[in-house]
Amino acid sequence: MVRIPFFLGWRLSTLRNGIQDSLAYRWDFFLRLFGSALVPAIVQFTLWYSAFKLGSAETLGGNTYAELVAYTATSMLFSQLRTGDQDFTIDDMIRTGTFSAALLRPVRPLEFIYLRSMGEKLSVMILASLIAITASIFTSMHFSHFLQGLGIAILGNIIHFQIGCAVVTLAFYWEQSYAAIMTKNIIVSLLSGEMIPLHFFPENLTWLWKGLPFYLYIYGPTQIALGRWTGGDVTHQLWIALAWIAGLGLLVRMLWSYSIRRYQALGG
Amino acid sequence: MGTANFSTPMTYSIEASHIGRDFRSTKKKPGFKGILSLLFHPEIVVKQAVTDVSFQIREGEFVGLIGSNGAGKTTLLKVLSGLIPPTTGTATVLQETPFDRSLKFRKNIALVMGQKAQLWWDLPAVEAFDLLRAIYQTDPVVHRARLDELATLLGVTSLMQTQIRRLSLGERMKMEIIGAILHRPKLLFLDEPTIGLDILAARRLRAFLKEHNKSEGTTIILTSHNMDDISELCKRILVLKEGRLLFDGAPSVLIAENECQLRVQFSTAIDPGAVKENLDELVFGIDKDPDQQETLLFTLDRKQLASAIQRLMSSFTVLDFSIQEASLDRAMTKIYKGEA
Repeated sequence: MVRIPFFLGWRLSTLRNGIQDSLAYRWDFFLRLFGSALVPAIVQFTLWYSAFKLGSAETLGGNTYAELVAYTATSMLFSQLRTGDQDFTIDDMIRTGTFSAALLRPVRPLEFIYLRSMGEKLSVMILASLIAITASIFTSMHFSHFLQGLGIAILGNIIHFQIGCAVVTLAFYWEQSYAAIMTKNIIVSLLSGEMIPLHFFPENLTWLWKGLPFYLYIYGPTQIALGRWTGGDVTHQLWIALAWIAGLGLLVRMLWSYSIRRYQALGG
Repeated sequence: MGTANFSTPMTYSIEASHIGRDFRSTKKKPGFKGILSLLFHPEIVVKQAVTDVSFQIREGEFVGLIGSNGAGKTTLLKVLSGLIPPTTGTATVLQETPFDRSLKFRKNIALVMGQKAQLWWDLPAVEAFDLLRAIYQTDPVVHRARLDELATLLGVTSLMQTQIRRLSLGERMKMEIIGAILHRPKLLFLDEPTIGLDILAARRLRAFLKEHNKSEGTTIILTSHNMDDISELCKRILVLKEGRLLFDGAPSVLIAENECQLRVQFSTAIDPGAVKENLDELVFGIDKDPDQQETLLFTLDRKQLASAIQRLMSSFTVLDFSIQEASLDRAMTKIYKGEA
């Protein structure tokens, strides 16, 4: 029998456990799979339709109707990988004192929470891959491009979690950080490419999305999956993502080691 | 030539030295003005939950931590388990500083809170225990045997495939206990584990904990408002009042040997004041029975029993009476009321 090393053992069990947990409520699971991506997608499709079919535009931001429809459809796959309510969960755990259970187990509490939530994301990844395989048969999309995009999107997901962990430390000072998380999520929606393709931004404002990591969640992976960023671009984005992960890792570690002293473990 | 010292050094699981812990919170005044003031000029209130508490607990002891609501019991448990740091003083638990929460420390302790689920709500118990096995690196074969043993002892074998949220309070508490001791912690903190349990379930849980402490030598710190838990399980109690340690010793010390309780049922509801006039020099205290209007509870010296009964029978219509031993319950009530 193959013996799984401890450092991997509890992580695999946690992932598996997270999958089981996400399947506990069947209908909720199916709705969550792509439910929240529908609204921004419908808004985008309506916009493209209005501009091209009703307004008779030929291109928008340098893109044709077909290119923008492809963007919206592909970005839906990655936007579901980005979404995650771990920061809201941790905020609630800090406020109500249920974080205590995670603190006393002999594993890193934040990593444990992340891995459990990734259980659900694995299901999304599998489904998104199946859709991408189908799309690669019927369209010009290459599945290998999709996989590269998926790789960046996974790193984006880690970054998203890390930023959430940093923001949620406000709960130690303000008792809850709900509004701060919501504000962050609105900025993310705008600067991740979920609402509109980021190349729609005026030239003098591109620094706004390029200087932040949010584009690595949806816009970057979508551009890679559609073959618009290839080769060196992908490697470049990979390094940028890894640098963000390293920097944010240090920031989260520092913030938590200081803020956790204010944890009150309320309730008995 | 020096004298050889053959005495075994005392090993403590817990050493608490002058522990104090305060909490800061904002105070909300009533009404709309209060809301506005909370937004712009919040009044910070500092509450001293635990003050200057010192004690030592040896390996394998079963210690009761008791006190009225807000006495600081749970706060003390949180400090000792490493959830929160003390504001003043130091705690050494299993030779470590709890708030450092080293990997070794976390592997050797467990905390069960009666009012807070530690297990995962949506998972079947067996899946939750399997995850705990992976976390605590227990050998699968050893884990299986241990789980079977504990499930049998607590009578929950048939519930292993049931989601935690679908279990009754008593069943869930048994699962929480199993989850806490599966990995054989050296130190177990139990915060009101019998809360909400029926008499039978509470009795079974007590029997189990007693046996567990005896057979495995686990140090157990128990907080409970149920004095049956404390009397049956703890040879030593720590009594907290308003955050301060009021008593540290055997429960029997608190129970007056000569004291007993006379329970008298009258034909009608009687004002304790009227009875007191008749028995003033004979009894220490008179309480109403919370369950029966016509019944009064007299605390008195055993030697005065005959005289008290005689006087009551001659002045009132007594339907029934019984004599009870002085209990820890009574002793604690006196402490809470400030009579002792």
